[in-house]
Amino acid sequence: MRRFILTRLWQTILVMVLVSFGAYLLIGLMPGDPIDLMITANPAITSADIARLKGLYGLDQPLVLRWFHWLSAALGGDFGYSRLFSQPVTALIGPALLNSLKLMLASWALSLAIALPAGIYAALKPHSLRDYGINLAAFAGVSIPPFWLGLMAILVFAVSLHWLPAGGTGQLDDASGWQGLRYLILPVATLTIASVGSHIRFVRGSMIEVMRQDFIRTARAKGLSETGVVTRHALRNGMMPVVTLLGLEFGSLFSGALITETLFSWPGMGRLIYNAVIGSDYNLAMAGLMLATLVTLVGNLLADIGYKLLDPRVKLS
Amino acid sequence: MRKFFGIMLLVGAMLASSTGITRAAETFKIGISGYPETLHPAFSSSAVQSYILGFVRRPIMVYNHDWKVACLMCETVPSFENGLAKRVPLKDGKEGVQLSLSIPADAKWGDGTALTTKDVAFSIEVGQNENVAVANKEVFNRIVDFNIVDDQHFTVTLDRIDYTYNAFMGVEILPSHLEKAIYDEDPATYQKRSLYVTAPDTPGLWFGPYLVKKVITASAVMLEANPYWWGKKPQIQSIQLRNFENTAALEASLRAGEIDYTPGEIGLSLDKVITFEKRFGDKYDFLYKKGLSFYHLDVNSAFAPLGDKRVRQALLYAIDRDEISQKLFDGKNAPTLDFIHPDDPVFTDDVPHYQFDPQKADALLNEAGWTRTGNAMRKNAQGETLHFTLYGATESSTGQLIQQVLQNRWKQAGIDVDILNQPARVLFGETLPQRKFDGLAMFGWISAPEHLPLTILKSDQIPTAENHFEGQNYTGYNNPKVDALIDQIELELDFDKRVPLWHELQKIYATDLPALPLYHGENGFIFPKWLKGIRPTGHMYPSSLWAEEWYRTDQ
Repeated sequence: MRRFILTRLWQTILVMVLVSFGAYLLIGLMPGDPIDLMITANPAITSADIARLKGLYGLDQPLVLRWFHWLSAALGGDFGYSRLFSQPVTALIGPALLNSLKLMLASWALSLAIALPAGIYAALKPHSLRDYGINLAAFAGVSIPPFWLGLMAILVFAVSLHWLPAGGTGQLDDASGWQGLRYLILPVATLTIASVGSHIRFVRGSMIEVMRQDFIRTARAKGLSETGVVTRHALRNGMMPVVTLLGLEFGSLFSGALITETLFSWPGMGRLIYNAVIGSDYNLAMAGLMLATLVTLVGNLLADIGYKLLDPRVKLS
Repeated sequence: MRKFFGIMLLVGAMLASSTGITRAAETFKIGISGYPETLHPAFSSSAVQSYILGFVRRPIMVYNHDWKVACLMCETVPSFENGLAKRVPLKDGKEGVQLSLSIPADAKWGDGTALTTKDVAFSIEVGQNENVAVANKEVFNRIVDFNIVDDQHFTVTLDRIDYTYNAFMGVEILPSHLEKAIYDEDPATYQKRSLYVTAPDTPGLWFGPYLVKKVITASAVMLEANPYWWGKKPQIQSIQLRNFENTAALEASLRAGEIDYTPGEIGLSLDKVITFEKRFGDKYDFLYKKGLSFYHLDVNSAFAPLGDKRVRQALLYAIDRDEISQKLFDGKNAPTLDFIHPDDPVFTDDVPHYQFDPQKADALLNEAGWTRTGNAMRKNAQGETLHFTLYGATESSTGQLIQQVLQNRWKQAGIDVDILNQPARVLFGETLPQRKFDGLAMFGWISAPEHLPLTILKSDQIPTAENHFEGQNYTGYNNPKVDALIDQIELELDFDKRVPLWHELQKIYATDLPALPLYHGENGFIFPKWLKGIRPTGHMYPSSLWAEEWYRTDQ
């Protein structure tokens, strides 16, 4: 296990360096650098101003050299300064990460809390009325675009009923406790509805597969109760694909949800990374992308370790 | 079922009762689209930054509501006539101009410190430092001398005398008592260490009717009345500016009562305001004001068919710009004659008008050698079809609608047009600067009152590989008469003598059509019925600069 983790850590470092190189080049190769964007539609700026600003921002250097400078500084813990927001990148990422985590963890936990029992419940009697009912709800959740759902939620609960705020985090009004939680309800509900359907389908499919296995028949033959069969034998095996899914989704906890964050004016990582890429804010975009890459890799590592814990037959090599 | 409704009512009552807590505050809430790169006034000049800073500080001079140069942080606009401007010889033998200016005697920073000429001197020192990334260095490069007379009076000498000689704009006053020590430590990194960046809620940074109370980066700025403001006391005590990146969310928040007002300068786009007015016109007040954005079609004159003036004129006669205004903008965004804003004092309508006239378009195209048989596309004597590409930005949904209307009209005139939209960064970062468009490109310029189109019309501003694509004359327009007129206007100090030159320039532009004018974009303002006193200017100085005149009628 220890050797496996060490090997994966080395691979992670290598992947991070390669991704940073690829991402930096891709952002840099897009036409229009930050200064080009700054002068868009401004006929007053002079060529001398453009050249001077490019020099001051280091944009007159070759891209590979700029990446190397960025990497050297990043390895020393200096992720630079955001051009878009005139702040150190770390000062921007911290609050955005916290906001995204609040939103994503809440919806992730809620989605799993609904999907696990619902998926198992549906899987125990496939093609029954209850299975069809749960499937219908799951498909509805998967099919409704989060943008539309969020907008409808705002129109009903904020505009018509005035029950909940239409957006924001409540930070401006110093909302805390229940007042603060009210700002979470609509975005979390939107994200949960958008994700719970696929989680239910995953759990249901996996459990149906497991429930057909010989060892389940044996367990039943031994005289175990149905609850015992499910909890002691089926669940553990049925969770293997779910762990894979959770490992893949782990990264999204830290990279936020662009559409929901934008719709609810929630200042999270999704909006931050998007704005950084669109605005050619290299430092901010790179820090955001690197963080997302790192947590995705860590998520996959955790998933692999999870397999081993769920099924001792799995060999980590 | 009864139990269910009972629970729902209870939950609703609980949620609704708590809503009141956030709505009870007497804060005036403004919804805006966008957030500035920085609140430091010297390092950016975006519309959203100007709007926010309009509440908390004042430029030395501005264009007022009549588009005339006016003092906000000075007492009298200098001129040769009033003796506050003087011709002076410069060391290099040329002639410059010395302006005598006085800042208001009772001006104070938000912490009570007197605002003096030392602050102006410090601001110029920062702006002139080559290692400081001030966006527009031109104004600082023009200053050859600065002298403090006393705490209130100073003189500044500019390196040349042109028609803007007395408009001392672009120098933003910085608080030397707070910022100088930070700047002196290391000017090259001052931009990152300034209090405007590290502690923007420091009262001493601001000197408008309001102070910045709290900043949530990229999301919101909270303002409160400045106790040291020496001007008219604002009636509204606190203001919240909230950034919405999504217009649907902005609209919803407006309807939910979470924001009170959206300013036209940086709020909802015109089409959204028009739709909003149609649906909720009885609940709000609306105002539309033409802005400085000049939407047009740049013509690449290097592309053979479009190098012919008759073809360009025919293209304009063949499209119905009134139809675009009526169908897409509910009568707003009326056709414009040229690049000069109709409210600009130098504007004239004594230029060719190009009303929709398919017959004239037909005649001009025939004359230019592009003839058609029946409904076929036009061809020249060599059998080549009259064809070009119409470029635009993928981000502009309104632009794409206009492109389709134009394409359809030109098709009716026998002109084959392809539409090609590119991301803004490709269009503005590569296609236009390198003149890679084989036809027309649709976009908007933002200019200024009496703004000389030097960078977009002068022949030495044509970007080429030889000059490393410097300059913004993307059309490749080259007319010695226009070059000379631009030089003449620049050097003519008498406004009355300058006006005929401007009129001549407009006539040539409207005849030559280096770009096909579409409209000057209007901005839509949505007010609550109880809010009065907001007066948009139509130019780059936003209505927030006069925020102390805003008042509520419900108090």
